[in-house]
Formats: sequence, C-alpha cells, structure tokens
Amino acid sequence: MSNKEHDVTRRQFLNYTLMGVGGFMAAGMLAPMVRFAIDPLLREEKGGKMVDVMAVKDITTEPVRKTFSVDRVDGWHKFKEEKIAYIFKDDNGKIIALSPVCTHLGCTVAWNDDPAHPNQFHCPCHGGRYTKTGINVPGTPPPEPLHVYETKVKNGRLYLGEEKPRGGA
Amino acid sequence: MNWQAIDVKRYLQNKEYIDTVILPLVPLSWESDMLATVREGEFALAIASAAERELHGRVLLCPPFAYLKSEAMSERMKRLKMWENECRANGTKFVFFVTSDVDWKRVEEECPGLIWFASAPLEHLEARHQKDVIEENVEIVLKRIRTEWRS
Repeated sequence: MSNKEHDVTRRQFLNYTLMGVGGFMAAGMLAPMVRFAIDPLLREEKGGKMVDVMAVKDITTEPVRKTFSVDRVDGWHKFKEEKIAYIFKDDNGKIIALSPVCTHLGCTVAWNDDPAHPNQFHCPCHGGRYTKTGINVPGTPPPEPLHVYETKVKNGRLYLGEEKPRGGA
Repeated sequence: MNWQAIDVKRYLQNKEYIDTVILPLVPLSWESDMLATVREGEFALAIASAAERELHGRVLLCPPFAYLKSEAMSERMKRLKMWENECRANGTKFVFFVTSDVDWKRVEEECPGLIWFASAPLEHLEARHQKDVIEENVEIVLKRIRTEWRS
C-alpha cells in the first residue's frame, strides 16, 4: 500500500499539533521581550528626525544661509525652534552645514560681512572669526569650531539633523 | 542672554563680555485704545526677543519696563532713568529702549538709547509674513546697536 507511507499516525499528528501551538505561544511571549530589548535602537532612529532644507543641486561652494524649524518640547510646552544653517560644498565636494551660533557666548555669526576679513564667518559681538569650514581663528574669543549639522541626502534633497560639536581647535 | 536663571548664571561668569541691556517699553491701557496698546507692547517684545537671539552673547534682555498710558511722561521718564542708572551702575555700557509707542518719539532727545519702530498687527499675518515683518524691524535694531558698539 503506497498510501501508507504518506499517512500520519495519530501520535505524529498530536506531536505536530502540540509543537505548533506551543511554538506559537512561545513566540507570542518572546516577541514583546525582543521588542523591549532592541527598543533603544528603534528609538534612536526616531529621535534623529531630519528636516528637508534644500535641493542638493542648488548647493555651491559659497555658503548660503538657510532657515528651517524643528519641533521642540520643553516640559509641557511645544514650540517650533527656528534654526539657521550655512550650507556649502567643501573642496572635496562634501556637503557641510554649519550652525552659526558662536561657540564663545552664543551670538549669531554671519558669512563674509566684515570687509577687513573677507571669506570668514564673523561674530558681531566680540569679533570672533572662523574660517570658511568653521574653524575658529586663533587670537579671537571663540574656544572651538562652529558646530556642524548632521546631513543626509535623499532623492536629491538635503536633510539636516542635530548640530554636533567637532572638538579640537 | 535672557532674564532667566540659566542665562544669568552665564552672565555672571562672563560679565566683562556682556555690556549691553535691551529694555522693551510696554504700555498698558484699558481705554478705547486697549487693542492698539497691546499690539505695541507685543510687537516691541517680539522684536526685542529676536534681537536678543542674534546678539545673545553680548546683550541682556531685561523684563519689560511697563507703564500705564495714563501715567504722565515726566513720571515715566523719572522711573525709566532710575532703571537706566541702575543698569549703568552695574557695569552696563549700552542701554537700549525698544518700543512701538509713539509717545516716546516726542522725548527722543532726552532718551539717547531709544529705538522706535511702527508696530504691525501680527495677529492678522500668516506665520511666513510675520517672520518677514519681524526680520525687517530687527534689522533696524541690530544696525543701531552695532553702530553704537563700533563708535
């Protein structure tokens, strides 16, 4: 009887069924645990929400000032925070987005507005200066380079995230 | 710097760098001109706060100098001078008063730090236009402050 080989005995049938149900229950219990375990990873992805600022093809080697707003929550108070970035390509074609907040005491620096020091960022408050790539000029008050925004290019658009200090001077 | 503990801590550590005070002048009234009065104060506060952002490291933005529209100009001036003298006695070199109240325009000569600009009804403007109007007026304030710093 060739049929017999494909038949399942009662014992096998019960084994398979119980294993299936048991496995399903175990998975049901484990899934939330795994979710908890890797939660920090998932959250980080969500926290790094980036904002569409401009088209990549419009970026030149000359820094341009762009403003954008990010949603912030301070306790129970939700508000939009206005941010400024100076965006350009460096000599290697890498996109750089600088935060114009002076690292000395937090004034807003401007690009190339001081005739005495062309092609530098200049702070109106205490004369702090930075090179085009945001490195503080020695002998001026700022203690460190301008912070840089995280950048991401997607579908020809530039997205900016958090600003990060660069260390060194 | 704002008039907040977190900023004032920094102010106290870096006092030699922060030599400028911005004082918004904000009028109060419940008469028929209440709405216009509120607008003037709101606008002056918005401009002052935007200017503070640009010049955060050298400027202390103080809580507004508030006064009743019915208060006589001579009384207001007396009080304002007291505020100004207190600032100067504590190491402030530059004191700027920002306002949209036209009353102050008449006493401009007695009040060298006065910066006046016409108010705009911000509540009728879309967010985008609000930004433009504020930016335009902030530029007036910044220009004036930078000029005084240079001289």
